[in-house]
Order: sequence, then structure tokens, then C-alpha cells
Amino acid sequence: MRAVVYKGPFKVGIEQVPDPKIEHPNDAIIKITSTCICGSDLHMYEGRTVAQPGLRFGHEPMGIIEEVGSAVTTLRKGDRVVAPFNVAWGFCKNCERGLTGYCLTVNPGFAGGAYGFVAMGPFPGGQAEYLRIPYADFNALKLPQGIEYEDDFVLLADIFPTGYHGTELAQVSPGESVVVFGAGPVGAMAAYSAMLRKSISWTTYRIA
Amino acid sequence: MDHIPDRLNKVKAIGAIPIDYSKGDPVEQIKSLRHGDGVDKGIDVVGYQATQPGTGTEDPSYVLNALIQAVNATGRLGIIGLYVPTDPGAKDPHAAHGELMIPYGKLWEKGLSMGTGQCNVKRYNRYLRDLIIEGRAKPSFIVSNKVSLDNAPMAYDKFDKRIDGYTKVILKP
Repeated sequence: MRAVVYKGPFKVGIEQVPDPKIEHPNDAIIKITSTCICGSDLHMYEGRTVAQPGLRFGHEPMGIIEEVGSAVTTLRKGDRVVAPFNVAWGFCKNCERGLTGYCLTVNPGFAGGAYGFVAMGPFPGGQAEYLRIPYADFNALKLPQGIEYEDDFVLLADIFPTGYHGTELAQVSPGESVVVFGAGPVGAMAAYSAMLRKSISWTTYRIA
Repeated sequence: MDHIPDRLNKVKAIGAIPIDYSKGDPVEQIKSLRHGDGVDKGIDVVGYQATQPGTGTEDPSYVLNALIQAVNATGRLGIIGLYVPTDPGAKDPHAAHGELMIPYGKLWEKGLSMGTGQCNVKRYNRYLRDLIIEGRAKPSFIVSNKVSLDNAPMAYDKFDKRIDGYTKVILKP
């Protein structure tokens, strides 16, 4: 299959790589229908992380289930799903409390895993034709069948929840004033989420 | 840079009040809009590759400093902008190890608190999905381009340079 591969600062290529396979009974393979480029990919793309050439980028994937492992119980071939950028096993003390970005078992010696990201574990990126979703019952979110809301649902992999997370970390309540520094895609999602939480007088600001 | 009006216009379209840093100190602008007051809450979406307004000099603690000034005493900061423990391109030896200079004394004096770190997507995605299905949220307003997977190198280049309106790109395999 084809995949986006980091080649060094300011350089990515499209390369032929092996198709993903079921490696664990709770894995699923999806055929990707939409997959975004994230601003956080640019930190790696610009050579501003310790990411090494060869890393396959992409952590905002959605698609259709192509194959499921024998232990997958809630998903079947043909289901439409979006995968959180976090890869989490679901049974450590952080996952149990909903803090799946800090899973303690997915990436030994580190808290948290993700697809296609430096230091976040051995999970190839989702800017590709296919992707293996580990512990798929836990890590795939089922969506209505069809093609409706495709451009909205793909943003559930990262930036819509991430923007919302900013309002959660800041504990935004109705009626409060909120300033958002950064008016790129995640900044816009944070501002939008602040509005969903009925804050007022909030402002936003783009820093180059 | 002409991409800035694009971005500010997008957030204006959803009801935010845009602040253009090129028109003056952002903290002063916020306080002016608030008739001298600061704000209750502040969110940093920029992270460690922030630059100072005007000079364009990279300053990884710029947004944290600005938020400590802009948020009112006892307010709260949400820091989702990415910060790294190792920055190979840092301009000074401290920043290379993720060590940033912030006015911690002022933060403490104001009783500010701070939440940090990456998102736990599963905590929200089911509910945000249902807001989309019910027509209560339409986040796709931010999507600017859809291109084939094979065009990813071009899309990375344009998105990195913030040119030709490249804001949020969906790749189609």
C-alpha cells in the first residue's frame, strides 16, 4: 500500500510499504477514507523533534473496517469508524479514569501512545491506504453508515476533541470570558468548543 | 502575511472576536476589549514554536507569559499547545531541554491554575460525534482542502508555509 513517510526536514514522500496485518486477536484493519494533516505533524516535518527519517506520519484517520481479529466483539467488516489519535490498551489505572492519552501499558516506559508520532510507540501512521487499529473494540469509535458528515467525523480523531480538551483543562463555564491564543485549526476548535460551552466575550488570536 | 486574515475570518465567522497581533500587544488589546479587565480563562493552542509579535523572534514561553498577564487572578489556563522535552532546533540551551522562562511568581501571586497535556480523545469523541449527528456542531467549517494521498508532499509544503489557503487538509487515499 501507499503511505506518507518522513524523509528528513521539510521532506515527505509517498512510499510503497507492506499492508498492515492482524497481529493480535483484538486488532482491526481499516481501509482509510479520510485522513488529515495536523499542525503537530509540522513540528516533526520541520525537524523540530527527534523524529527520524522513515517514520510514517498520520494520526487523524477514519475509514471502513476491512478485517477484524478473532476476539473483536463490537465491530465487523464494513463498519465505518474513526480512530482517536491516542492508542490506548484500556486497562491501566490512567485508562480506567478516562485518561487514555496517558495509557501506561501501550508504550512501555512512557505514558501514552499514538499513530505516526515521535516517542509515541511503534504504531505506523494513518496517512496511508490502510491502518491497523490495536485493541479495536476500545480504540475505534463507530459512526453511522454512509458518507454523510465525513469531513466532520474525521475531525473527531484529534482536533475537535483536542480543542474541546483545551476548554476542559481551563474548566470553561457558561458566561465566562475566554481567550484562545492561536487561531489555526485547533485554535478554531477550541474557540468553537468554548462557544458550545456557552462562554462569552471570548477572543482569539493568531500568532505567526 | 496574507494567511492571517483568512484564519481570523474563519474564527470570526463562528462568532469569536478576532484579535490581530500585528495591530498591537495582544494582552493590551484583550484588556482594551474588556474595558480594562482581563479574562476568566485562557487557552494556549500555539505551543513551543511561538514567536513574538512584531519581531517574529521565536520565543517558546511567549504564550505562557501572555496568558499569565491576560487571565484574571484565580483564573485557569488550559495548555494544549505542544511542548517537548527535547527540541533539536531550539535557539537557546534551556529551550533545547524544554526549560522555559515564565513568571512563576506572578502565576502564584494571582492564584492561577493550569491544566496541561494532550487530549484524551475517548473522553469526548462519542459525545462530540452525537453533537455532529444531531446538527448541534459542524466542525468541518475549518476544512480548507481535500487532496489525494499522492499529493501529500505538496499539501505538507503549502500547509507548512500557510499559503494558498491551506489550513486544514484532508488526504483521500
